[in-house]
Amino acid sequence: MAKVVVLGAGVSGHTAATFLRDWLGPQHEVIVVTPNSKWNWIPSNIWVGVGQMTKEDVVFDLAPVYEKAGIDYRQAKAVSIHPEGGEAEDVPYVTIEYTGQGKEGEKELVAYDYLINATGPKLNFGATEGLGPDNGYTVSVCTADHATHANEELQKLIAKMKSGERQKIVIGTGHGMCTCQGAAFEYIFNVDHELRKAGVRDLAEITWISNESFLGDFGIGGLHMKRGGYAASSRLFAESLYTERGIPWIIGAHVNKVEEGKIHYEQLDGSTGELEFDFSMLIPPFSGVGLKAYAKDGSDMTDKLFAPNGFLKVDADYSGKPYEEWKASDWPKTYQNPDYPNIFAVGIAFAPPHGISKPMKSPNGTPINPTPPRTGMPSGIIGKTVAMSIRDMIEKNSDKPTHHASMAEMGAACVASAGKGLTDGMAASLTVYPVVPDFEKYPGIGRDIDYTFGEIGLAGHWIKHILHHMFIYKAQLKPGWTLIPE
Amino acid sequence: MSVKKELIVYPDDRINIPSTDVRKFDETLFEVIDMMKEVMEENGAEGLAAIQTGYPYNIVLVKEADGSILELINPRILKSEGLVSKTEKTLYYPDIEIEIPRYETIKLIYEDRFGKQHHMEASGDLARIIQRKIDYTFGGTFLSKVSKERREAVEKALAKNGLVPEVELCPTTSKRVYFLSVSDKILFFMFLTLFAKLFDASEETLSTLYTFDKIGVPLVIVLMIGYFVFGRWEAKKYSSCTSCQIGNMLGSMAKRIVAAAAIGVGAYFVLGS
Ligand SMILES: Cc1cc2nc3c(=O)[nH]c(=O)nc-3n(C[C@H](O)[C@H](O)[C@H](O)COP(=O)(O)OP(=O)(O)OC[C@H]3O[C@@H](n4cnc5c(N)ncnc54)[C@H](O)[C@@H]3O)c2cc1C
Repeated sequence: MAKVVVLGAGVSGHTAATFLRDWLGPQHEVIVVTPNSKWNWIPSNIWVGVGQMTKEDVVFDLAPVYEKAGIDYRQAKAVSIHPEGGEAEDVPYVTIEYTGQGKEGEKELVAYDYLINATGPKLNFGATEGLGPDNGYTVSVCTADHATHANEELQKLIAKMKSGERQKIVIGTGHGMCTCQGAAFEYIFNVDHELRKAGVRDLAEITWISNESFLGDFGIGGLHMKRGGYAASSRLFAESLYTERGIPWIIGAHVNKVEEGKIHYEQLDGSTGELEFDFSMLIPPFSGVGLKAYAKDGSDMTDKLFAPNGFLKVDADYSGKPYEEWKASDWPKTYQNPDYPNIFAVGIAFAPPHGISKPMKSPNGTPINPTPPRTGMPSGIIGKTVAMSIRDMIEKNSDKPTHHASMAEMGAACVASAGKGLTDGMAASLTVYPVVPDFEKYPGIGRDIDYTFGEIGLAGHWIKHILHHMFIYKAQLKPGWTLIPE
Repeated sequence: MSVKKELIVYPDDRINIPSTDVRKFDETLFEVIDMMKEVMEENGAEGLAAIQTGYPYNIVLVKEADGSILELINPRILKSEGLVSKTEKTLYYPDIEIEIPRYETIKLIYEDRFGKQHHMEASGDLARIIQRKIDYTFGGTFLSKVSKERREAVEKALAKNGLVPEVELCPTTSKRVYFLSVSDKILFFMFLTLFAKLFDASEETLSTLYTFDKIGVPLVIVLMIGYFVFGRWEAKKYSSCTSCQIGNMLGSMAKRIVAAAAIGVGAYFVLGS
């Protein structure tokens, strides 16, 4: 009998846990430890943030789904990992602290044979003074609750505009080392769309600010869209879209402080600037969730298991190579920890070897460049791949992971909403292959342009809407869920 | 290594290749820069992007007011202000002049040939040339900056002058593909109707969509028969084309008929019940 413990029930953890439960015999245990009682289809939070959906539309209760599936669900957050066991315990375990199920605050040890860390990101608002909805002045759409709050603020703003007041809106990234520019991109165009619908767009001054060194970088060094026999960059596409919608942009920017109504930033040329706002949604930088790791004797070995940014080390090359030496093969394939072969990390929780976009610094030494995104599709695929490997390690006694899913061999499809509406909605549908450029296999831009595609229109919006229902259906494990791709 | 000297002019699809950032600041880079300078001189150019010489690297050269040449490696425009339209000419389209909106002043960062980062501000004509050249490095020409209608008009006019992109032996746009394209569009909308219930559509809308599907299935079949008959006639004209072979055409037909049937059955259960 084997015990698999999955930390985190987001896109990747939920995928891994549900597939493992489906594949492993009943003699094996699958335990999910996650602090949230509900599963959230995060991409649709954008629509919650503009009032086009409610929180209830984008979440569902995990407990009944896990109960039906036979997954042991502990509503708790993991605190520490003890890969060698402890002084009194011979087997590896994690310590957890309950956040629900009537046991709030209670601590527990959970032993494991295999551990999957799928804890996603910590929304690190603290990295920039004044950032975020809790201790700052900006809103966020990263969680369903944040998005609900963002919409409340947006509606107040719209009301002011309806009474004739001009308002300033700033949307983008709140730090030089952010990822997830795609979400901010979606939000700015959804806000623009809602303001047009409300008939107040002319009273709003909307500005984009981000850490990208060119518009349309999206943290992956840009996308390329096939045109004629060749591909054109997402920069040209993004610039014409922003211009068309009357949205000026400030890029290569590190937001270093937010005050009430004012954003301070530094740009890649070392200059500084200020932007006034009445409403601002800035994505925070991500870090690991702060799990600790301890050796058998109780000594702290967090540094051994985790990279400095708090993400778990896996089979990647962390030697810190310079940009010109970055290679596709630096990226992990099995997501197995090199020191403890029964520990894996999936989705945002694994430590990437380095960025994808070109690393840049201002003359003052401030790093300003997008960090690598791990969006929904790669997160789901990685979760499933690791689940397959663990299944084979348990059932076929494989001594090493049997499945690979490198982001340098994996494509990603993304449908970025630019406005919601059955007849006037709009979304950009983009595919990129591979996510991490492979300069050896595809000389030049490092990507295969035959699999790289981009288009904007109403059909994209419909697809995005269908995906919303499809993924929630899949995550609820309704009939045929295994047939729906990640 | 010696680099090849060439200037790409319309029509040449290579101009749309997006350039990659220079990662190695070595002898090859210096050679490409020197070659580019020669091309500039020979053509009296004010600026040049490496891709205009067939090298897909993020290198831009521009002539400054004093005649010296500024080397911009991996340039990025961080800020731009004041959109102004002005007539432009470019080496890639030797025969056209066109009014293009560009920013009056820009702020950019770039690296020199040794990889050291610099920043600068530019305005007026210099700013204009830098913007045009940077667009080339991202796979765009100055026609990427005008409306689709304008671009198509220019391309048509160029074609009239005999400047058309190379014609393949096998016509890529035979008329029979219209049959496929229309069927695909019908199939796509039929497919979407299957999801209508998710959008809380009214009973009346659902029944209209179902009627659409009911017409769609036989229509796709008729179109496919038309495709085959027309395709056979067309194939006689282009006997060398593998894409006109019966097997390929039957395959294309079968796929769509099966899809129409499958969607039809789906619609019967989802919308018809
Ligand atoms: C606003 C927004 C829009 C987005 N839109 C898109 C999109 O359109 N397309 C796309 O592909 N991607 C999109 N993404 C990215 C996508 O949401 C992420 O890639 C994906 O959620 C990552 O999955 P994950 O499993 O790694 O992390 P998450 O989904 O964040 O899951 C992490 C889980 O771990 C839990 N957890 C946290 N701490 C602990 C702990 N200590 N112990 C145990 N569990 C813990 C969390 O509660 C959560 O359940 C978007 C992201 C945002 C923020």
